[in-house]
Parts: sequence; C-alpha cells; structure tokens
Amino acid sequence: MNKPLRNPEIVWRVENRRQTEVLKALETGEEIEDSGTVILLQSGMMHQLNLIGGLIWQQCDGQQSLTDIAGELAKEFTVEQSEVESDVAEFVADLTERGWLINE
Amino acid sequence: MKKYIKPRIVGSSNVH
Repeated sequence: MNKPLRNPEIVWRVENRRQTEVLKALETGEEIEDSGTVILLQSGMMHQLNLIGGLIWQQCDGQQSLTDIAGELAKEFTVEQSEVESDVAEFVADLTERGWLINE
Repeated sequence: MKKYIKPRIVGSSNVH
C-alpha cells in the first residue's frame, strides 16, 4: 500500500547533534543541503543522508504513506505540498531500488 | 518555518 519500510538489515543512526545544528541553520534561512545527518551501514558501505533525506528515512516505519511523510515535512519547512510529495516519491523510489527501503 | 532542501544521499564510502 505504498508505506515504505526500512530494510531491517540496515544498521543506522541519527547524528543528533548535527541534525540539531542543521535544523537551526535552516531556521535562519541558511541552506545546508550537503551535510549528512543520518548514517546507514550496509554490506561494508557507509552512506549519509542529508537532513530532509534523514527525516524521510526516520519516518519510513511502514505505517506512513508517502503523503503522510510529505505532509509532516510541509508543516515544518517552507515548501509546497506538491513539490515535497514528488521529492519524497522520488527519494523513496531511489532508496527502494537500492534495497534500503521495502515498499509495501 | 525552516528553509527546505531536497532530500538526497550526500556521501557513500567503504567502511574498511
């Protein structure tokens, strides 16, 4: 039903301090789009997601639809629902293709 | 409200 779920084989963590720093910066209108706030480990590789990517990842608990996830982001960030929905769909499709998310 | 950035993977590296 299109509620993405994190692949349980992936070890991951949120870099809380960095996430807080980036959120604070975005609040002042600074654009920090290449800072990694969530780290994933899979088969000997380490991957980092930027802030919005990390927030999407954290919401992929198999309970929320793409629309739900986009709606949460639209509440907190200055973005149109339609834009964030298409970004979420694209990002989730990419991660599903990589096997990091399971899209049920 | 916070400035929006597009979601993406910002880095991948070998653990070992």
